[in-house]
Amino acid sequence: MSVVNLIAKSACAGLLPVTIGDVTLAEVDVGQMWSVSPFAGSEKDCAVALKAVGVAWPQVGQRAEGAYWLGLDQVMVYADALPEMPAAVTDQSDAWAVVSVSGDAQTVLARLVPVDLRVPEGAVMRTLVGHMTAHVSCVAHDRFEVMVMRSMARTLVHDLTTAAEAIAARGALDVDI
Amino acid sequence: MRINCPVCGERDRREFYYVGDAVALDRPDRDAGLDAWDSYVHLRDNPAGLTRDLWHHEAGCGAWLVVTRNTGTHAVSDVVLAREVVR
Ligand SMILES: [Zn+2]
Repeated sequence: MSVVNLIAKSACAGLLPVTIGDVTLAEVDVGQMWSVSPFAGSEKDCAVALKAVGVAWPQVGQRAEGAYWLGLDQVMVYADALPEMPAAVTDQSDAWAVVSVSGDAQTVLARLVPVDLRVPEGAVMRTLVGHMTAHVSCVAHDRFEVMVMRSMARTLVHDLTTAAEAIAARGALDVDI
Repeated sequence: MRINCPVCGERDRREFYYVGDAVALDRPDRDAGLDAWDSYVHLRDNPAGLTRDLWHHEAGCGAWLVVTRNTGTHAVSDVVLAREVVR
């Protein structure tokens, strides 16, 4: 039997990158990642196990080295493989579309996200982008990353593009607003 | 309307799913009898005033919350994690 070499296709292939006005949308290749939900009372044990492989346990609503907060009792870890832990661990690789919004990201996302985005670097939020559940993280004051389920990649790009185009168009009016 | 999630902070109502009376946390014993079970499954008060409801932070952290709210004023007076409610 012949071996079939499959070509990996990223979630936003053919859609990004794109620059609209001062805003650039680009796909982020996050590689191998895992959701980790510690069994009741086991968060400390999981943190110790992950520390041994150089991953820090993130605080609620924060990024840490090699991981970030994903929800109540749930974190996402970037790693090729994980050590044994008292937790429900699920391979999340290729399950998500991650898009970075750089430039005036706060103004673009303010049109789509119902939370205050004036947050410190490293803050992460579970919230909505339009009607989609999403994970929004502040990488820098002028760069955010938005993560949605992979099946929503095209919708996310459409929503971000529409918002960025509207802001660019308003800026082009050259009037005081 | 905004709900102050103990995990995420104050968030817009659209991030939450309304589930119903928090009586669901007070499940009767298996042998409690028909009246208790009838009340638990079917009977709900409809107060003009304080209600204690379950909400799910569906588009947020995923927590189940017990929200105390006044149906007359819509004021939310208390929000706690359902798992921290002593039963
Ligand atoms: Zn929450």
